Amino acid sequence: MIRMDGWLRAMEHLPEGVRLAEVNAERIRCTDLTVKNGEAISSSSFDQTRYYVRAGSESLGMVYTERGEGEESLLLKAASDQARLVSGKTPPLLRDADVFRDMDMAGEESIRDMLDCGARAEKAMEGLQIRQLHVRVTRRESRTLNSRGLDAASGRSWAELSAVAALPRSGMQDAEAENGVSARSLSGLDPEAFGGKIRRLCDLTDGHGLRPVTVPGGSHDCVMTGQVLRNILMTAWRSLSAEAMQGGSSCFRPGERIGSRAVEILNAPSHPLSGKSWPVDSEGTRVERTVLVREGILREPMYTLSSGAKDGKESNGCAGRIPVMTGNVPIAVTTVPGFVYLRPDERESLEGLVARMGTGIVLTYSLDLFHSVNVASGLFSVPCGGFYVRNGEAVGSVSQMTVAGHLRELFGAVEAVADDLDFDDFYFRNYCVGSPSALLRGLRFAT
Amino acid sequence: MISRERAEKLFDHVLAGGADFAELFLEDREDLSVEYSGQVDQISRLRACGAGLYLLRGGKGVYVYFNDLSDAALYRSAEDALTLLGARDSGGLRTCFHTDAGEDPCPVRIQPGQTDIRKKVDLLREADRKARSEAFVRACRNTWSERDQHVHILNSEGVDVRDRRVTTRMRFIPVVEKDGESASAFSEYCAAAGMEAFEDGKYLERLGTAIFRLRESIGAPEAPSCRVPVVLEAGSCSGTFFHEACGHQLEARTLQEGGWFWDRRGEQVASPGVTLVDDGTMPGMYGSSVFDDEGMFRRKNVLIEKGVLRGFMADRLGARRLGLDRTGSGRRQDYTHAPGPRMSNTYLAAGEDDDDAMIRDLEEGLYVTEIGGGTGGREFTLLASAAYWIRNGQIGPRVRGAILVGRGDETMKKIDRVGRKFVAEEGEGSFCGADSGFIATTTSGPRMRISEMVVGGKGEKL
Repeated sequence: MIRMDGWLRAMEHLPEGVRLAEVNAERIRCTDLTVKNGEAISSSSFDQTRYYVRAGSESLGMVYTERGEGEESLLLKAASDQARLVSGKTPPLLRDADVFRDMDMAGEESIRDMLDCGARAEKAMEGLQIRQLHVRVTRRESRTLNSRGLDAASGRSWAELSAVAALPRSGMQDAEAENGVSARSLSGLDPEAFGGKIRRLCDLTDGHGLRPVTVPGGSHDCVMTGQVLRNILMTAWRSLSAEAMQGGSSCFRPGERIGSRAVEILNAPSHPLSGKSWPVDSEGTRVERTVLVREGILREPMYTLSSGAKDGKESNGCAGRIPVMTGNVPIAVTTVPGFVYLRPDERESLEGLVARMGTGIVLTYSLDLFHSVNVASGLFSVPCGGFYVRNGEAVGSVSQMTVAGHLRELFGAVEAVADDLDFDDFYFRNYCVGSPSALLRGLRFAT
Repeated sequence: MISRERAEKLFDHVLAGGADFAELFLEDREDLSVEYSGQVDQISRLRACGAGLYLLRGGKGVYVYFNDLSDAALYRSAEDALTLLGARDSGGLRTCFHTDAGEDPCPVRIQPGQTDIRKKVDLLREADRKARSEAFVRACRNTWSERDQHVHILNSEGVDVRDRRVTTRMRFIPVVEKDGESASAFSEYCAAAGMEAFEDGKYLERLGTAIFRLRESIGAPEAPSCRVPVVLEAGSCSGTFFHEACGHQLEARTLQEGGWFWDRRGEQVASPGVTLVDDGTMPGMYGSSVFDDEGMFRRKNVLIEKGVLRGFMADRLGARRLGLDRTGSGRRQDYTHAPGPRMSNTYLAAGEDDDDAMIRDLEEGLYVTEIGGGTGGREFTLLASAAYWIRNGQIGPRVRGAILVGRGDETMKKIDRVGRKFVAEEGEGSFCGADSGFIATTTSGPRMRISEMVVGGKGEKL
């Protein structure tokens, strides 16, 4: 657990002019190996603690620092500008007193074991062009203290394998795929199964090596693989945040039908398919498993303390600091999920959905995760590719196309979802987004 | 933070431990951010102070970073790095340190860190007033951001250089509401400069343009799904096209992973009108600095000349692995990232074609005046955040929701016009995200035309 004795004292004896204060510390230790031919050709390692300090009286100013000492001056620094310049119309919000520990860390992993894991994955991918193969172990601890007596600490560790690989195709573009898996520890990873998965994904990219065909633009039925839907959800989840709805930057409203009955979207602190876990959010709230969308109806948005208060609701543990791509160190508390995902249906399979589609496009990849969906207007236009299926038979690969519409049309077009839920983490690795494959009817394509 | 003497001892230690090159990247950075929406909502201050130790041996690289700069932590990190490097015998030899200094391409006249925060609030207030004076603006949230980054780079080849990068930025998020429909998007005014960048009021013009484009987009027809000629306006549009269509593909990292352009130097990879340059020395530009983040002087790199591939962008490790020369392109967001080969100010050089004729000659096509982002790769995408339909040689109605898709190697050969009037992207730099983090870049060029591209939209034929 992160030692914060000085901060505990500072919270009990706030400096003059500071009425409320909070410090959220996050320590991450991570080792990342890029493995090639059984060796680490590039690697990185870090042990970094970040402190996010909020302090003030009528409203809370913020300071970010990477050094834990100088508590009093940091509190004063956070509070002083805010007191001088902010009129204080926003009531400051902090969690009430609560003390809990949720530490569940595996033992330290050795470099040798990490290399062995990478070498086994490499072997399982023999014949593929491995463009990147990473083995990564992470230990994350978080602790939030505030002047109301909150002391919430959590700790988790996990191991990951991720790869970008391509299946060479004679006379055609290589079939490339990217994927990652995680477990609570290295011993929980199955490098052979992972290698097999990458191989299958590569092979699926162009419909098992099909030659390119041209498909006319217009309305088509399609099966989106989990990767494609996940990429859309990577941005679209923000439309399910109460903060976005309150600020007019979400196309959805609570209680609204946003999709078909097959659409159920959840947020959870963890998932059995992943070793990662975010049990406590940045404000010290335990993350609850929440059904955001049930049978296509938006039941409950993601809440932080502040957005919850505006709707008269409790936070459901969605306070974080890095929701989108940014070059800054984000300091303000905002809405961030844990594991947000489209619920799979164990009775269906990808192959079954393709067969049920009959004629249409199987989208196996998409590009541009972060510019192709506008959560405020709901409009999306996603560059993508895959293969074309006619009367149940795959006839040719397709690329350089886009699928476009409104998120309501997208979710509304979902006829069925498969059992192949798969997760990917956001660029900054502070939350995960998941989706199974789905069959959608009548989407608009440009080719 | 770490003296030359301490660095010297550390380098001796890691070179004896098996590294053949060692580098320390030290950073001390202060950021300030002020959010304003009719009143000051939030003030945030950041102080980041840390170091990264980079060890190489042959083609292997290890990066460890830390913010405890005590000797104990430093040597513990060095041991971790040596373990990761996996070498045991003695590595390289250190030479004497030498200090370089160059002329700063982005001199700062008024340091933001020494300017009262009230002046920044005044600028935000002015922007807010401007936004609210515009028709149909319902709300506007503006954010002031400033950064003062001091870097100190020492390496075992004797480099000992310091660089200071000061940037200021205002982000605008206006919400425009008209006929029951609302539209919002962010835009930015960025400067590799101090407070002086905001003296001439150009940032207000930028805000005005952003509001105009939002207002214009409301009620505009959706772009159709089609394949048509595309004209990209001078400035950031044509430059961004190359940033995404081939820029990332010309970085050593992509080349190491089997990139398509390796090794096609000397081959015609684009239309003869295309000369593409990446230049980290351009005065006053957002992607410029004296040194790259590996302590090498920035320089001008010609990537494509008259359509023929001439060069790549390489950092130290990429250069070693590929047998290339370093190009002053080793960049990183901060000390928490290892350096990587990255673009800086990328531009298409002016061509010889008539700027107006390239629209006048078209029966039908898409004219793009603003690109809101994109992704690179063998297939690339560009979001046309402001675009117009061309009909019978005339710029017609505004369309929305257009996204352009293509393959770089194919599309660059379809460029059939490159205009004469070069426009640099001033005050409009942006961030580019990749493995070594988010870095400041700009994209510039003259107007250009592509004979055919896939345009994705959800509208019907116009």
